[in-house]
Amino acid sequence: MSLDALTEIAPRIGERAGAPLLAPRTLEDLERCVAFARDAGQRLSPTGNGTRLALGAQGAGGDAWLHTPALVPTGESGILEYVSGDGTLTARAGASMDTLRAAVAEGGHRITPLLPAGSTLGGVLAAGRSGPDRQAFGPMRHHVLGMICMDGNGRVHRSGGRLVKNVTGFDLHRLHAGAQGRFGVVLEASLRLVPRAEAEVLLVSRVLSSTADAARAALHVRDLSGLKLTGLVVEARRVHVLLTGREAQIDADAARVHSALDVEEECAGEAATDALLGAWRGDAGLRLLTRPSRCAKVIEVVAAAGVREDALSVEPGAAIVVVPAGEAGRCAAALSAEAAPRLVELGVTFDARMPDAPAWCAQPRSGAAATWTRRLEEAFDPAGVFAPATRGAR
Amino acid sequence: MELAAIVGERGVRSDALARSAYESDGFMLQREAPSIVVLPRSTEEAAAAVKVLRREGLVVVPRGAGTGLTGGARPIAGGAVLGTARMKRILEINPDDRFARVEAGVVNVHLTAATCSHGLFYAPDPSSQTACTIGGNVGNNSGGPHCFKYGSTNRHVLGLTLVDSDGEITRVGGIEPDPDGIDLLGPLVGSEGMMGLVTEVTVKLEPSPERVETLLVMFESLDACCDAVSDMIAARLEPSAIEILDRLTIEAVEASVLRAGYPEHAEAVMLVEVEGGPHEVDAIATDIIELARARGAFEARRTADDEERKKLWAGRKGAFGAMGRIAPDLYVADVVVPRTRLREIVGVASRACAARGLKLSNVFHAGDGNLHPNISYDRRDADEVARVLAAGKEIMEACVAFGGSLTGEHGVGLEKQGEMCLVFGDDDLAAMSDLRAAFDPHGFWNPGKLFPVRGCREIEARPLGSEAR
Amino acid sequence: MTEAAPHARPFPTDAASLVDHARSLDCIHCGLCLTTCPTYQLTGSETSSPRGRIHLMRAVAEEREEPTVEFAEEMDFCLVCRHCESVCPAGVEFGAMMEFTRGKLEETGTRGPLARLVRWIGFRRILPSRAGLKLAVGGLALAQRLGLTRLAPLVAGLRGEVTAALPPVPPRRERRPLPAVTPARGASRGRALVLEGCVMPELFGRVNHAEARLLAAAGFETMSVPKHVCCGALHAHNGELEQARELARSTIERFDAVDDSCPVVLDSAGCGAHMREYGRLLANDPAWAARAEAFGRRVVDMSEVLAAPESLERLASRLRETTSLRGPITWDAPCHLCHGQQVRSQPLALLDALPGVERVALEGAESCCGSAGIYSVLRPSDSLEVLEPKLEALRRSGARTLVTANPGCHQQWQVGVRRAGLDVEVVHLAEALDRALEG
Repeated sequence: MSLDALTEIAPRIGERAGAPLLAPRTLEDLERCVAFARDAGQRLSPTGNGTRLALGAQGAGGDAWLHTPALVPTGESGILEYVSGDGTLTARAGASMDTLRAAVAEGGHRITPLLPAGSTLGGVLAAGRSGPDRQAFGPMRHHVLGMICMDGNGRVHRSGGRLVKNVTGFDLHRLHAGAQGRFGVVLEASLRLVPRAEAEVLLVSRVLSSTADAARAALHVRDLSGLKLTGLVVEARRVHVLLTGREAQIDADAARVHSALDVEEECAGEAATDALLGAWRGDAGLRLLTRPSRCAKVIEVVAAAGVREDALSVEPGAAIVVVPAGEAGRCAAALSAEAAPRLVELGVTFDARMPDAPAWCAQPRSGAAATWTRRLEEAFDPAGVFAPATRGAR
Repeated sequence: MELAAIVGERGVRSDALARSAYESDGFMLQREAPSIVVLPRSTEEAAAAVKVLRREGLVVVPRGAGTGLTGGARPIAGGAVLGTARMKRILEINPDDRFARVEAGVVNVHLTAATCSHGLFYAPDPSSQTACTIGGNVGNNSGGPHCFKYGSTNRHVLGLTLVDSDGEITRVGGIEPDPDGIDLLGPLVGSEGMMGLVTEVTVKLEPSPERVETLLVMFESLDACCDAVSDMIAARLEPSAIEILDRLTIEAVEASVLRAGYPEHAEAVMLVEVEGGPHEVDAIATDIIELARARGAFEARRTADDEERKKLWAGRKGAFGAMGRIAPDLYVADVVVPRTRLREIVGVASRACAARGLKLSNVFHAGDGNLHPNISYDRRDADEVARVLAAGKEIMEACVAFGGSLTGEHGVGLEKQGEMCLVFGDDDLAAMSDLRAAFDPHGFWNPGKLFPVRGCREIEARPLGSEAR
Repeated sequence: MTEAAPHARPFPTDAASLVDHARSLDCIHCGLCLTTCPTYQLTGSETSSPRGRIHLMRAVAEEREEPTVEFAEEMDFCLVCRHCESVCPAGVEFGAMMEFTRGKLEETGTRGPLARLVRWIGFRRILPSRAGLKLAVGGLALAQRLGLTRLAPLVAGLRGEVTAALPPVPPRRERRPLPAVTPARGASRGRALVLEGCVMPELFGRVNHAEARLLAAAGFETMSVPKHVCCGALHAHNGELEQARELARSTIERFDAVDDSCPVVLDSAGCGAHMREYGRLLANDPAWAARAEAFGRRVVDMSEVLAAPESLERLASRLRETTSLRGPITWDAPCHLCHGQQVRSQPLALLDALPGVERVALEGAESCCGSAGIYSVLRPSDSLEVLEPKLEALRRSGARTLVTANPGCHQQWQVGVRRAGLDVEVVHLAEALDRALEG
């Protein structure tokens, strides 16, 4: 019906997951789209290149997608400011992460999180997930210095700034990071960059007897006094340790990892991070969040429920056990019967953003937190333009 | 009385003396006595007290140790102060999962002391850390020298317990290092007590580094010292803290009980901490000294001795208080600039003060570009106060013009309300106000702070986003 | 403004000023003192913190607040441990301010009549008079012998409980005064004048004797000062400044009569901290200012003299392993030693010279035990509450001997240890060393 009116504002450039992909070229176009949807009771979903669709954008399955790369003027990189002397980057949300990474690499910087190629800045921020360098750098949202967003009122608002340290005003960008576009479209963001290390090395253990054992071995490495790890991941029952830093130090640290772990493969230089990214499957899937000391236990419960152990991707230091997307549907059924209550007992919280997540994974907020969230939704998106489509209803 | 029944006799004060003693925090320019001071001993007591205060129609200003520098804990006339000074239990230290759970009134340095035997520490280290509370740190998203490496408080809080304006107790976040979904915790950290009272905090603990060295690098000019820091950032060197102290600060510190052995003949010193593995420490320290010498540093000392290091840092952290030797009051600015422009903003500050006959000292987190131009004054001299405020404003305006910000770690509070308009427009502030109202629709918590008293009709500058609009 | 030496900075002479306003201006309100303050630890209230008290004093001085009974109460609640001074970057002379304000409160009669009577008896009739002291201590000894102190809790509540827990008054032989001269052992390194003090000879006479033996062993010809009774420290700490000045003048006279240039050595930290500051106390008295200043510079703590390299060498050669000291031992620093006189490392160096004795650290060794001169008598409940965390720390330390260096602290610990049922002996630093001293 009114989709045609929308495509008049922003041309339709394709289709994604059954909904049209619209390309607003200017901020005004975007604002008109949002205003139109608000009046017409339609639902819109901001999207980048769609690489992280498996994480399930909130509005997935809405009436249309808003393609944020379209907002980057043709022929431009989307970089608004890269201050190499200050270690900060400001770019449009639709900018390609690969472009941004290449640009800052020239100035000796790196962007955290380390993630597979193909995404946009906005997509990465909205998804709010970090990568396998989480052990050193923590959550992605810790590196967002400021943002400009357009909310469901069409209101463009800014928080934070471009500086590495700043407490002026409330940190709305912390709310938008990871909100999957629920409170609006990210337009611009500033990031704190990390220096590229002089040396990088990835150490991979032999295949251990079980994933739980591998998780224990990984924590043992974490606890080696004074050892600084950049990445700590268990894939296919092998511990992956990424070390980055000064050459001499990395040599010494690698030697210490060797003494604590039966290392089978070693890979140095830029290939190290590529190799880790290649092995890492923790980006999407059914996530079980626990505490480091309970990782092995959680893995055992999951394995006992019949989930294929080799499929699990684990970050023991960050206490995350992921059943990758491909396996998740299958294992969800196995888990739900008896394992799920045991996991709840262990204090595990679930996050399942893949579209076919089982119902028991949903842990809705209750009490005051639910009220706060509802008020935020009412304030930032009173018409529900960016509200998630009810699962299964569409 | 009802409140005394909740918090005990020692927990409620409404006599003239108590009201007077609570009339300000560390920001002395605006003072206001509260009607009542309530000091609960637990989350439950705090929640019960909130219900009573709300029913009685009082507004509430949360307070930790009252060491804030922008008036964030300054009472509202006719309102209450709700202090966490008696909530000082460390509830849990979990070395395996590297977190600690504490009541909001726990003093920052006590937490670090309690964790060090596990080979862990709590990273944010504001200069007032021997007095300020974790709850206050959460309220202001506090920083400190070591935030250069570790980041401010918001990177270290895993969860908290909030008492809201209905007196409801809610746990936000938990212990997971990287939770999913909408982040309600992030916006609460740094909310300057305007969304609720934080009564309990779960923080991340960091493993103690293998080796720590402190470098004291001496310069004949403050400009050269600033340039050396800019060079270090541009060279992407990664020590854990980079501080600068100027000559006046050095003199005040050296005259105090905290004398640290800073050279009194230097115009400026750079205090740097380097930590990590021994090879890494050595490599970074060597590079830093080389860069500093190229900028004219005439001497550089390296020490790994714990006692000596402690002294060097105690001197730095007592610098604010030591200024009491210069004049009865001190205005502490807290601006941030891109680290490429340190020298310029220091120049602006010194000209702004010189032109007004004010005494300026500089001590700051250079590595983060976070300056603290300190202006000594006497609050009894109204004309001097006016000149101080004018100089402060000039410095903030210059900072924003350089692409900087108003505050790096002290918060907006009362002090920078007006200047918020330099950075944010009406829509930005309205969105922030919406955020606040989601947590506190009644304006019960710390009203009249942070937001400009009048809206910002015209946006005077927009360092971020000018292109997007 | 604080460039001059602190002693040279006199109290205000303006009769109307209730507060040393100039000193209050040094405080910049940074709050670094808060956590050191024992009363702030108890209440969490700004009014009972150093910063809060300075704020109140300044508010009174600037006539923004009235010097009410509540004001006097907040001032009296302070233990004047001066821990805040040790951390104050602005160098606020808190102890001096508090003494001055308390003095003015006394003069203006803000306190109730009964409290004033008790103070009058204590400060005017007992402390400055050997006879008065002997009478008071004799009364306590008699009550202890008759078992009356066991009844004290019934009639005097907590104060009575504390009285009941007091250690027995030592036998008469321990209460004999020092000889006029204790000759140096080995070659003499000069003279030392020793202050015997007011309550020390009556309750801790053994400590004075031990001190004299130690000084002699370190090579000092050790002189006592005949007829001297009281240095006036307790008076000054409690605001009896006029009386304190009188006692200061007579102390200087009596000591100078014996020797007017040699060090004045003390084994009581509270007295030492006070006597070092005679210069300030008498700064407004032109006839005495210079002499008092010079006298103050001669005052040293026993541990400073004994831990000096040559002394320590001589002393160490005479120290033997002893069974009379149960290890592990621990050191609790009297506030007026570490904060009042900045003497910190010397006692530890001396204890570490004891052969075969293990020393453990006491957490919070530099925080107040709650004794604070006569505070434990005036405010027994607050005093014991201040001691509570220290007793816990003592329990955790595992020490079986606690060493201190001030009579008030000594007694407070004895009461506390007894009430807590701990098997810990409390001894003075001089006693601990003396027990290991050969022949």
